Formats: sequence, structure tokens, C-alpha cells
Amino acid sequence: MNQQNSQINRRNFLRLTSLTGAGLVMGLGVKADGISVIENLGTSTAAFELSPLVMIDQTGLVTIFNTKPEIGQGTYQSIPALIAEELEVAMDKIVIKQTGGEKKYGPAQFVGGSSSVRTNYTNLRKVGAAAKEMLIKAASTSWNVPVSECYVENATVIHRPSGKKMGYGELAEAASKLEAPKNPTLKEAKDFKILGKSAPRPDVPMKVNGTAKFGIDASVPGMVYASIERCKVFGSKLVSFDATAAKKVKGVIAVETCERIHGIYKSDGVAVIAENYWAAVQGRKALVVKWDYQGNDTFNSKDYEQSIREAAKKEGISIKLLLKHLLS
Amino acid sequence: MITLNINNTPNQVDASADMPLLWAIRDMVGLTGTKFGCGIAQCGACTVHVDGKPVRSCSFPVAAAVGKKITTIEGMKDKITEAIQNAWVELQVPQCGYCQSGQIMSATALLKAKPNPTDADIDAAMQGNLCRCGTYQRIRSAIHRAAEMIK
Repeated sequence: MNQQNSQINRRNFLRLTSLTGAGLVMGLGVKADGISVIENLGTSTAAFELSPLVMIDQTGLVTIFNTKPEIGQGTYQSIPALIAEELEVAMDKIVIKQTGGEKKYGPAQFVGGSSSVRTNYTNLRKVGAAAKEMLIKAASTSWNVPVSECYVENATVIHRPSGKKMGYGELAEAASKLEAPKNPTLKEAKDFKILGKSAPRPDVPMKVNGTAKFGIDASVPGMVYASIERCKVFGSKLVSFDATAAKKVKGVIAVETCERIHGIYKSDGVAVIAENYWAAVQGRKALVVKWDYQGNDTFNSKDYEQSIREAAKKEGISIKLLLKHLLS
Repeated sequence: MITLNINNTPNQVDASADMPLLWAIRDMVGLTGTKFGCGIAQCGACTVHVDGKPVRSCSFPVAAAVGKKITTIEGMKDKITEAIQNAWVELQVPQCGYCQSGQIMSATALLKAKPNPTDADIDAAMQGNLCRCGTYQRIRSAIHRAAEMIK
């Protein structure tokens, strides 16, 4: 362990360990266990945060955090690409790390409505551009030259008049201490090197060897599995259940009642909790449950349609009047 | 305790004899590359090799796998698999990727049996592996590409 690493405070420790996890496996939500993290500290280089989404270590390795789950739509590449484009770093020179719901990455760590790229197109480019401007500022300060004389190419800041160069790794620490500019200058689309161009997806290798982690592969310490028996009739109430046989299934740990809310409706459930998924399902199948259907078991489309037809014959209220009443 | 030989490693699992092999592999041994899809041997996501033959592990009891050589996607290290994986990357086959472990297990078994498959051979061998993203055309091309690479 070198001098650098012996002075690790908690914040840096977290930075280092999260980077170690990223560096070891470019996987989706791969956990580093405590022991391997500590062992790896000795070989880690210090990494510096230029934004919650961008970390650069002393060797110049750039880690970009992707907050948008990859579900086949390509966000594992397209979201980090927005940052990498403005940061002037090639996609094959970055480590992508998937965030796992940590608070620091914000509330929007989900995808939906084909909106990930559309809604992040400008703000994530600003993240990359801000980090780039911080690196340029750090270099210009170090050389004592105006920022305007410096530019960036391939993760290197260059002083145009003298041709002096500094890599991101040398600048990361100083840059991380600067305030991030709020309105950094964005590139023009004609200068894009990454965006708008086809490139091999970095998630594909993990998807051909079984190492990609999907939701079903998530694991937490002490995790157990549950399978929930629901009534086949919507809106039923649980009267009673007999879990004697369920509890005899090898691997079943407990049987508990639970509730699911659908809008204004609630539905009861009986959850069988077990050491593995198979045992939970077998236990659920062995439950004997008594339901009160609340009269909903005789509900059917034909009678329902008939009831609407009958109702239509009665005196009604015009929609116009109803809306007027509701909006008044 | 049941002993399962998975990827050339003996694993002791405390499974009931009728537990499908899939759950012993995933929840007990902790190899999660093999996926759970339908649970009724209709989708192929759970395909593993038992004595070199592709089987649907969701419907294959552990008792039937005792004493046999079980191979999961994590244990596929031979030349044919390597060619298939390279072809899959070259042609960017997967989208979400959930079915792809199973696709690759079936494709490997096909190329072992038929090093030069026709489109009809591929369709017949791969018809039990469903892909919701619809990557079938690329899978077919990638199997041809892998066959070329092996030559």
C-alpha cells in the first residue's frame, strides 16, 4: 500500500471501492464484497469525482455512470455516449458502471416511454462538457496560460501556442476541486465523433457469456424468495388459509398474508417465503385458501353489457351538464 | 444431499429430487447465466447441456441429472462456443439478452452435430428458443458466421 492509499478517508474509500467494482467487472450491478475491496485497495489508483456521473483516476481511466437501466434498447451505450461525446473521450476508453438506485444519482434511475435519450440529450452533454471545462481550467492554471488557448483532444488538454499536453489522469485531482460550470459550451452536431454514429454495444459481450445481470439475478445478503397466492376473482377477501402442507415443503420458511393495492381496489394475498424460488412456488401450490368472492365471481361481460343497456334506457344526465357541474 | 457435476465441478445441493435442475443451478449453486423463462419447457431460456445434449432445465428434475455432466453457459469454453460468442458479438445479435444464454446453448449443440447447417437445419434446431426482441434473423446469420469461423 502506498502513501496515497494509507490516507484514505471514508469518502475517498467509497470512491475507490466503487471504482474497483467497476474496474473489475463491467457488469450490471455487480457487487464487490468487503474482503475483495480491501484486498484491491492496494492496487487501486485514486479516482476523482468531476460530477456524480464522471470519475477519472490518476491513470486517466474515465468511469461514466449510467443511470438508465439497459433493457435491450441500448441505454448502456447511448446514455454514457452523451457524456463521452462532450468529454472528448472514446467509447472504448471508458468504463461504464450501472447505478443501482443510490440516492446520489437522483430519482430518475428508471426507463420508460422511450424517453431516456430525448430527455437527457442536453443535460448529460452538459455533464460531459462541464467536466471537460474543469479539466481545461486545471491545465490552464497549471501552465499559467489563458483557458482560451487550450483545447481538448482524445482525453488530453493541449495548449495550442506551445503544444504542451496534459492527460486527464494528471489533471483529474485538480479539476475535481473546481466548481462545475453551470452552462458549459456544447459542441455543434457537425463536430460529433460518437453521437449519431453506429458502434458496437458494450453490453453485448456480457450477454453472450452469462455474466450480464438481470433483475432476476439480483441478490442481497440473507435474501429469500416469495411466491404469492392471489384469488382468481378480482376484489375478493381472504377468509382463512391452511398452510400446514405448504410448511412441509422442503425449503419453505414462513407463510404470511399480504395486500396489493390497485387504485381504489385492494386484493389480499398469501405469500409463501422460502429458501429458493422453486420451494416458494411448491409451497404456494400446497396452500388451502378460502376466499370470499364478494359476489364478483358471477360477474361477466354479457350481464355487464346488459346492465349498461338497461341503464341507458333510464333518464340520464348530459355530459355537458355533468362536466359543467364538475368544473364549477 | 445430491451431488451435481456442473461445469466439471462437483456441487453438493440440498435439493428435493423433483426440484427442476434450473433452480439448483440458479438458487443453490448461484450460477445465474441460465435464465428462467416460462417454466414449462416452451421457451428455451433455461437450456443447459446434460451429457452434451441441450435440455430445458426448468422441467428436468435434479434426480435425472445426478451422475451426468451438466454444462451451463458459464462452463462453455470450447472452440465452437467461442466462435459462436464471437459471431454473436460481431453481428450484435442480442438486444435485451435474456434469452441469449439459451440460444447459445442450442446453437452450440447444433454446430457440434452439424458443422455446416442450412437455414432449415438452423430453424429446426432453434425453434424451441424464443426471443421476445425478435433477434431470429441475426441468430441465423450468426450461426452461419460461426460455422465459417470454425472452418
